[in-house]
Amino acid sequence: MMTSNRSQLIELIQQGAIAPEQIESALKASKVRPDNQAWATYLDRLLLCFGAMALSLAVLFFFAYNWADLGKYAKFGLAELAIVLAVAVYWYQSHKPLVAQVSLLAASILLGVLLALYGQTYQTGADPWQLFFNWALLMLPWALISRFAATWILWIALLNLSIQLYDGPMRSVLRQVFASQEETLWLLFALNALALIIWELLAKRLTWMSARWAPRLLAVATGTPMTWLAVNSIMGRHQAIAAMAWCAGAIIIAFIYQRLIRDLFMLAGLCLSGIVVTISFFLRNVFRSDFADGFLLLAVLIIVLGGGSAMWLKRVHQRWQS
Amino acid sequence: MNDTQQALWQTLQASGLVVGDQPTATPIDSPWYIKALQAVSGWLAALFLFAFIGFTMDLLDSPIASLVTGAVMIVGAFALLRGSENDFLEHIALAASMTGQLLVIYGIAEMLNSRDVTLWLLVLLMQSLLAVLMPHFIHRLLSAIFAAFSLLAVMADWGLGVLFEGLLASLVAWLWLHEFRLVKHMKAVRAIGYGLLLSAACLSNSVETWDIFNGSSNVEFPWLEHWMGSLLTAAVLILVVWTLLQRNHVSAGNKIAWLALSGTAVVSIASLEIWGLSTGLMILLLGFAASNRVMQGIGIVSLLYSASAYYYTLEITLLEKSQQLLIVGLLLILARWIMQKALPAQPEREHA
Repeated sequence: MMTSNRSQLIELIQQGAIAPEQIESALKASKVRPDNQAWATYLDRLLLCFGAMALSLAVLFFFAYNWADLGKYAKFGLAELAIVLAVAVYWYQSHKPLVAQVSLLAASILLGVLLALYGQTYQTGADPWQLFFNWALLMLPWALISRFAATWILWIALLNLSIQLYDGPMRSVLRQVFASQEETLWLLFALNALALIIWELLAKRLTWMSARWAPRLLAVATGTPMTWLAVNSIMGRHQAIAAMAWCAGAIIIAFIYQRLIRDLFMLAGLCLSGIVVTISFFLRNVFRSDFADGFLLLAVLIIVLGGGSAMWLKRVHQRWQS
Repeated sequence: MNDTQQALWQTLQASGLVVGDQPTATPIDSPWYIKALQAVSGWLAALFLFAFIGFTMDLLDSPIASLVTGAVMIVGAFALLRGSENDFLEHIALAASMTGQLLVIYGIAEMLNSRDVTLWLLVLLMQSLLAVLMPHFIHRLLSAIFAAFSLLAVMADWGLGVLFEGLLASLVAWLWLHEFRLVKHMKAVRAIGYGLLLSAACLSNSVETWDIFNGSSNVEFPWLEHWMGSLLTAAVLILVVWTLLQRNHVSAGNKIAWLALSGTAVVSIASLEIWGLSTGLMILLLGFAASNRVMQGIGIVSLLYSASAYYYTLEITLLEKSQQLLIVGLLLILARWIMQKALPAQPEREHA
């Protein structure tokens, strides 16, 4: 497991290995303070990404306003022009990987605007989930050629959204996750787990997939419905199989992310999920009989579980360091 | 000893910045998600402990008793945290201190017999003291967040809510720019810095909500407008850019310095009505300036949050928002184009 120069330098400073007046030079020598070249590259990317983002959002906000004075052909013309522009940038700048990737991502977002505009204008009577599903379907070719993690995450997010909308109208994010039907939770779990497995398998071969933020995000999207299924199953609202599936999943995650791919984030997430499941087991079986003392027991239980998790995670972390 | 540690030591040695043997590796500070797990479970345990005390003891009947017990618990937690490196003891101390704080606040609120600004001022004072004094990363971080929240409440009550974002941004900027200067207090600076950073990322868009909720918008200072608050944040951002430029030895007369400063000014003035944008940008820049990836992540999430909050503000129509975004987007792309033209072909010449 890699540790950044930053955290190692901080450790050295705290040990007193570097004299206070040398710290600034040490920061520069270790590249913790970026040099002017690094700044130039970073600002270049920042301006490009935010510029493209702001322009895409401008188009999105424009159509959300639903300007009555503008005819429908003008609207379609504008939306399509925006897409053509984004694709044209991709085409002409294909020798610059990041510009190409960002313009395809922008085109993918604009495609959704166009589809929403279509639904708004012709009142197709289609269900909301179909919009996001069609959007995902139509942007798939761009995702395939983009070789860009953000575009794929958008694609998976759209599929997640359409599954949730199939379940019922969109509510707040929290209620969306925690008030869904059992089948929806299973579907979400299956989709994200599959995506996570494929991502981890390909990440070893493809460098553009190697950044850890994407599989971590997918793991959160996999773990949340699974944890909720297990909690509901313990509470007797869902079938018992979910609790068993959770146990199996926990063992698999613990094995994979300790032995095959070292990622402490996943293990921390597993601990959190474990704490939630254990507490709900306790709530179901102990709490109801003794109300007030139950609070104390619960507090002690959380301290033991939280402290134990932290201790285990730190030990694993230390083992990987040496 | 692993390879990266050795490589870093050799680099430092070659530059003459360290002498002698490499110190034996101590465990590197645990990553943010382990700390987050500890913070969540400590805080949750405190809530249940408070509920237990509330249900079983008569403490809550007497404000004085509640206040005294709370204070004793906080002092006990302080003693535990100072002496121990054990995870379980740390957790107990954390939960005890949080419960103690709830008891103290409850006691004060009962004694004041009202929920006005005095209570928030006292909470602000207490949380600031705890953030400075408590010798524990997670405790300092949580206290800093609660302090920022009570500061927002106080400022909103006084009708100064619009200045909150700028004030918080300047605190964040100062702390993170001094991260490696205050060597003796490094741990404290980082813990409080992260607490205020998270508060800035979450609360910068919520001043408006608070005003409506409180019904006391701009009572004392009717001439204060939202754009003035944004201007203050923009000024902080420009100051941060200026400091970073100086740090990399780009002098004031330099073309690059001029471009960077005027570019920042133009973009932040064009986006005055997009709340939280300047703060998010500042967090990103400060994060990159110290290779802090967690901070950059918070900056990106904060910017996404700011964009979605902007969508829902009612002050201007979506059409106007669309125009503003178009201008900001074009300015950013233009800035990139100018930067590519202005930077010398061999950027090494600019090296410090």
